[in-house]
Amino acid sequence: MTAAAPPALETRARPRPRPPRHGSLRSWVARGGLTKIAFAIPLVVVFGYFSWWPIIDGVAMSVQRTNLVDAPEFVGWSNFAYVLSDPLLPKAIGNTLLFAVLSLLIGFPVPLLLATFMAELRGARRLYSVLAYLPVIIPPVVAVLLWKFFYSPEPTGLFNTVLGWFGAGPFAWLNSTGTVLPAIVVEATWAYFGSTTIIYLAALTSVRRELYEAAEIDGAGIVRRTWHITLPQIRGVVLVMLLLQIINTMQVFTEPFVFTGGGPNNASTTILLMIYNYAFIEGDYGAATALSVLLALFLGVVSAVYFAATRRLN
Amino acid sequence: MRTATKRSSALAVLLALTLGAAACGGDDGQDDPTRPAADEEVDLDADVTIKVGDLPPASEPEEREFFEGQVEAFMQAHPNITVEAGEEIWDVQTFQAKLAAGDLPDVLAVPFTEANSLAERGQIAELSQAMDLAGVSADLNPDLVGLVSSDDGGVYAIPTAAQALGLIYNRDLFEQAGLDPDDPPRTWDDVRAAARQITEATGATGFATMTTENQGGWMLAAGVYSFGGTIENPEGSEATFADQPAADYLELLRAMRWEDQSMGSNFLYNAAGLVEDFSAGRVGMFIGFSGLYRPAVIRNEMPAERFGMGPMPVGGDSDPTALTGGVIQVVSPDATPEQRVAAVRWIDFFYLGQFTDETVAVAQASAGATAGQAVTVPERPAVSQEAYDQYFEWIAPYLNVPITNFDTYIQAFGEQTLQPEPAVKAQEVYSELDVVVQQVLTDEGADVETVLDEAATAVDRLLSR
Repeated sequence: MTAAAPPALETRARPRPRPPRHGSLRSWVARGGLTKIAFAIPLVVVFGYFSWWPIIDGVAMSVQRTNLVDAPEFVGWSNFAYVLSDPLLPKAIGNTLLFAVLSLLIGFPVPLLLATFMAELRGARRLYSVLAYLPVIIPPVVAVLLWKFFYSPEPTGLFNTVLGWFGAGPFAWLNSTGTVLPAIVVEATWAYFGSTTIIYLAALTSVRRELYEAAEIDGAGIVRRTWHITLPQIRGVVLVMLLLQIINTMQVFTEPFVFTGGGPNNASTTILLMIYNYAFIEGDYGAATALSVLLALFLGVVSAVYFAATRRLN
Repeated sequence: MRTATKRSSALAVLLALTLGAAACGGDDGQDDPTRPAADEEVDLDADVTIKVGDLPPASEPEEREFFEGQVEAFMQAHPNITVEAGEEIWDVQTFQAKLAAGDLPDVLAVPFTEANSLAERGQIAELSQAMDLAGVSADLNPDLVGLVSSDDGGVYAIPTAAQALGLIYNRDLFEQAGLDPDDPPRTWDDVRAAARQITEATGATGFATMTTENQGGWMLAAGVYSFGGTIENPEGSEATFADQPAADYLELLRAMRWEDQSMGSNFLYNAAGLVEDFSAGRVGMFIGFSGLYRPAVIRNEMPAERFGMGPMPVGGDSDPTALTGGVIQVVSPDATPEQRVAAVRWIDFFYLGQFTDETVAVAQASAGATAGQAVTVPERPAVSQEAYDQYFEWIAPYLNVPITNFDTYIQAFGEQTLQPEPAVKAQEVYSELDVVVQQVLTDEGADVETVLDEAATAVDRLLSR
């Protein structure tokens, strides 16, 4: 029985070629190990010094009290207790979530629709790409100051003048607790939709033309083509962009800071604005970093849940 | 599962390392670094180098040249001191970062409002020993020095320009509204009547106030003081503004906003935005300090003759009281005792020399006038009144500011009580008070007492930290 083993089994039983000896330093060097290290060092040093170390330092600071001059004092969890008991925190969380939701409702479909529309264009696509990307070139603070002018609550303000032609307004815009966040979201959408549109456009180029041609032959219009071909084909990019947008909007700072400073009546105070105030107004770096750590943990959890959910979807 | 355990372990190790690092950084009983040790010998003749900020940028060549010339003159007068001048100016964000990096200049000009917070946090040097050793030649106004001193006699800054808040008004709008621009309102009732008149006659906002960036709280504090109220108790441990004076002031604002409609429609003003609208003739009056003449007239090109300033209005039966502001020079807590002495000598020479030396006064005024700067805006003197009057005589040929437009403001100096900032966490408290003003001006249904109670609770929490 054992003498006449079938050829397949014989092959399987043959000893594998010996793997390269990983333990040998000489062979590791010969395989280019040093070159790899040399390439990695600048990256590790730069990331370590400018990204990872500040993160570790920030986490350390969240359990300390420091004035940046004296030696810091270890205070345990008291910074976390302090920020969690801040009566402004629920409002800032509510504002941040509302901003994120409004941004998704307004800011998420706009670049997707625009990219789909632009992908359908033949001749003027480059021109539209440039036009869409133009707001991104304007520095964020300049854009905000420009829109602040548009949002002037006076009847002579730009938007109020235009709306006045139709008998509407004048509106208080940034001066009203009800309209301040939507107003900021509209500006933010305008400011950032260009880069997202370009990314979607790039993703759309990977969709095979034959699919569209076949659909067109079958009589599918633009809506059905978008729904049944475009969106499923670029789903991966869309899901990643959605996650990035959630993370970005949860960290919104520049717009409320420059537009309103968090007002009126804290109606546009976001979590990051609170962190800024702790650090730079109150000089309380412990509280600022404690809230930053909490936000980072929350976003980490959101990202993990999101990935798990989308993996299941896929 | 195994991977999850590994990950959790890694996280636990990282957390433990972090907490360990944090605990290792604990206070090891180090002495107050802002004060040099009492028995420390200071060698006044040792070679020392100091870095000073506030060098005018290259876009202001005349002023920069003058500054650099003064640096040279100072080094000639003090051969053992080397001065390195840089363009760093006060910025709340970069100050903290530079402090953390040990990169602050040794001398920096800082707004008066920051003095207490910086001193409390130990982020500026204590200067009494350095001032004794350097022998400041200028006759400093003791009231102002008292405002930057601690109870135990520590001096944390040298005031070089001081101002009292007052009522800034557009003389042109006053005339258009049939008001006398030489007789600005003296009481808050007068202000309310004038605001209504300006809005009715011209359509401009009669009275506006800053509401953001802690400036809203600053202005609210000024209003509360003018009604005889206070913001904190003397120990700085408790809010004291949830009372009648603050309620009276807020009621006045509420009435002007919602009954008279004389406060316009923008309630998110910082100083820059408000001055812009004021310069353009869109705002009739606001509370500010005399230094705002510069952004109004020089930057925003408001005709100088339209800028008027009167005293801080008086509320009810209170005594005239004005909140102080201005500029102080602070020294880095990292400076050695020798550097602190050199820093004080530089401050005395450059910022206060104009009050003791006619040549310096004339050179500075001449350079300022040539550069198109305002020469000079009346202030509360940082030095004695005699020295200040003498200074004005020296620079008279170069004056380009219509001083008569400040007559009522200056006349009130003798009658007013100077009110210092809240002693503890002034900026933080102002930040909380921003919301109070915003609420009264944007929410018609806001109940003043409730708003004040809520703010007092928030401030108490802040002060107990």
